[in-house]
Amino acid sequence: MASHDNAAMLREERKAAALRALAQRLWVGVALSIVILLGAFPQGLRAAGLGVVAGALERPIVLFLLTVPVQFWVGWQFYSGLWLLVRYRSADMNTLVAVGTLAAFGYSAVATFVPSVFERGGLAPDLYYDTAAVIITLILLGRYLEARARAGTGEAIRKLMGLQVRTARVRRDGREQDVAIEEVRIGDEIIVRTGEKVPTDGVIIEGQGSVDESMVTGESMPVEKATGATVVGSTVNRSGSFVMRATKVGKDTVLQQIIRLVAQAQGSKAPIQRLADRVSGVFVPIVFGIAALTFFAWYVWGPEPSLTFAMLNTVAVLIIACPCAMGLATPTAVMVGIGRGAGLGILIKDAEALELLYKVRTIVFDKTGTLTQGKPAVTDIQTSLPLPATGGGGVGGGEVGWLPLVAALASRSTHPLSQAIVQYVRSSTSDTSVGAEQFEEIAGHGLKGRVSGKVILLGNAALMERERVDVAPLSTRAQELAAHGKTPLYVGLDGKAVGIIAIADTLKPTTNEAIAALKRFGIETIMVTGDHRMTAEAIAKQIGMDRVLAEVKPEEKAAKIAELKTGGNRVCMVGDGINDAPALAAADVGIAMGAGTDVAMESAGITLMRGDLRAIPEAIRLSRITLRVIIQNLFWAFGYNVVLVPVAAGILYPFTGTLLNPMFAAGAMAFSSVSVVLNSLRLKRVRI
Amino acid sequence: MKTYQITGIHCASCVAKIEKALRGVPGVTKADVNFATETASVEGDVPFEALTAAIARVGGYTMEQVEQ
Repeated sequence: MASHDNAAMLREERKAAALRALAQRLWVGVALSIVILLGAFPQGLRAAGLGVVAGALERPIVLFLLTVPVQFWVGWQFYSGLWLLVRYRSADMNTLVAVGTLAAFGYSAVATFVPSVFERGGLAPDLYYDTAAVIITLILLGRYLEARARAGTGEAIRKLMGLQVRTARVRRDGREQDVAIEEVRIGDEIIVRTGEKVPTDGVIIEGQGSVDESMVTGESMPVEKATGATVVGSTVNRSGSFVMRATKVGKDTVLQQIIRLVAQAQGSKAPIQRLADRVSGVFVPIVFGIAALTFFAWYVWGPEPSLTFAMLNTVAVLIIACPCAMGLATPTAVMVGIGRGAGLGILIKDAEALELLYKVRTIVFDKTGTLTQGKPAVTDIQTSLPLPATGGGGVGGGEVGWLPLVAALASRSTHPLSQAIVQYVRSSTSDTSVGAEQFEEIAGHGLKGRVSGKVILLGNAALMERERVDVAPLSTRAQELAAHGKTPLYVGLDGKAVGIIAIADTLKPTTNEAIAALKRFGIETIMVTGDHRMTAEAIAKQIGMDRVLAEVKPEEKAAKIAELKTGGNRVCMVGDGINDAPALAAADVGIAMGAGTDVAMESAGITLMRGDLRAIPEAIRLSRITLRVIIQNLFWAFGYNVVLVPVAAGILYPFTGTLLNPMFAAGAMAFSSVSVVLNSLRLKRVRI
Repeated sequence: MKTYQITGIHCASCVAKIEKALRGVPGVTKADVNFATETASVEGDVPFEALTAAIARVGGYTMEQVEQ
């Protein structure tokens, strides 16, 4: 990890140094270009009392000397393009600029030193030093601004890297010591106090804390963590203090995984970009063709001085045609969009997932763990008759008398349903001290035992029948609960049915809101589950799902997704990323609900770092806005090149007399790439 | 898949050229160049030298591997 960081830092430094060097040349270019341009206004200079300067600037040799450093030192980087042309018979944007400015410069140089060449042809030996100097300076200015703006697109990664904790307070051999994060080993005990960052991934072994995980999950509410809870490196312990045992260090930590993933995703290519790539790949040769044609046409048919017109218009074509903005249109937007997602706890695996998401018309949700909490909880308690209170509580006080007895029995079992009851009773009553004797767990039926001298039964109808307990007075209620997707458990006390405890996997509190938001997008929502049809429909109705696919075995889910995809329907599958992996992979876009912290992205295009489904409408909005920015960028970039190249060639001249000054061409070209990058950077701040 | 940082990219036509060069190296199954990050993602079991030689040939670009 350390070397990875260092290499990245080194690259950043190199980039910064290159940018500083570029700035130096740029300022020299700006200064000289201004002086050269002033030469065009001698009266103004004289009026300002700068007669000497005006006089000097009227001499071609002075302009020549001022332009040489701009042409060859400031614009040095463009000559790689010339080398390319000579050495590899290939061309790029640098070639266009080098050829264009050299044409203007060479023309002027000939006019300066051997004006007879022009005079013989009846032409005035005009100078275009300003054209050469201003083009180089403006294009460089564009590149400088673009490079600075582009640095902003990489901010998400830098922010993530900045989250990395440098040291940890480790307890070794009973002594506490601060050690560098690289020295922390798996199994180390680390002390985290109030206000401190969790240094690496681990499990709390002592104490408790209220941990702000927003940097990783995007969830701003702190999470209460006690012994046994997992904590993630770089999250902040807002209050309390604890000792944790490191379970992951270095590049295996969640934070480092996220950094790698985001970096890789930002470098991936969106399908929409392939068209732009194809166009810009053939663009430069085509432009050279148009430039040659322009020169020829103006020289042969153009008005006098035809050579001057031919030269200037050819230069304008060469300068205006650079496909720079086109190349930046998609990748900068993808980079900023994916970085923005990471900040919201939405990890996007590649540009393709980002591009496809907004086209999704159907979203299939796995029920358990996605729409629901994924663990059973007590939802209803039904008593058949008032019971004498045991201990201090009573029915009148809202406490069911037999509940602690049942809890005592359930606490002997590890079955999830039993655990749900224990959990419930612990949170609602204080009395859990009673013990169960003669405990029996009957598979497929339930529990039986003796608590406080009473025989307690907890289980389904089969258990009650086996123990000859009549459940007839309660069975209607039991069926009702079952119809709502709940599991009713009968409670027997000394041979009598005294009540029902209903248990269900409850919905996440945010599920309804998320589904409603998706419906507003006009997206069809489908729930897929292995549950019985009746149960499944009851839950789906409660959430407002459009459709239910019930009684679907886990291995059939992928096939169901494939079925939904027929006819070109774009389908998104939302699941837990582990059991649902094949279905996630089968969908156009798979969304894995990270269990808060785990990065399980193998099969999913998108991973939600928090278990909150509201992140899905957010991800869709992000996808939609990113795509909108890309299309705007491509429109401007294409439009700019396609419309302005013919104008530069002089196609409007016969009708309106319009020509494109090569200097304006350079300004427009610089403006276009900067504006594309700035448009992409909007994604950082846009409301999601 | 390996990722490489490329130096010398300055416009969109570079991207197309470098991609073409990398895809032309025998053994490369996939090559994508990103202009915004100035990186290339290359799939295929190919010696680093073959890749650097290929991109140097089309325009004097250089690259280094990004540690994952």
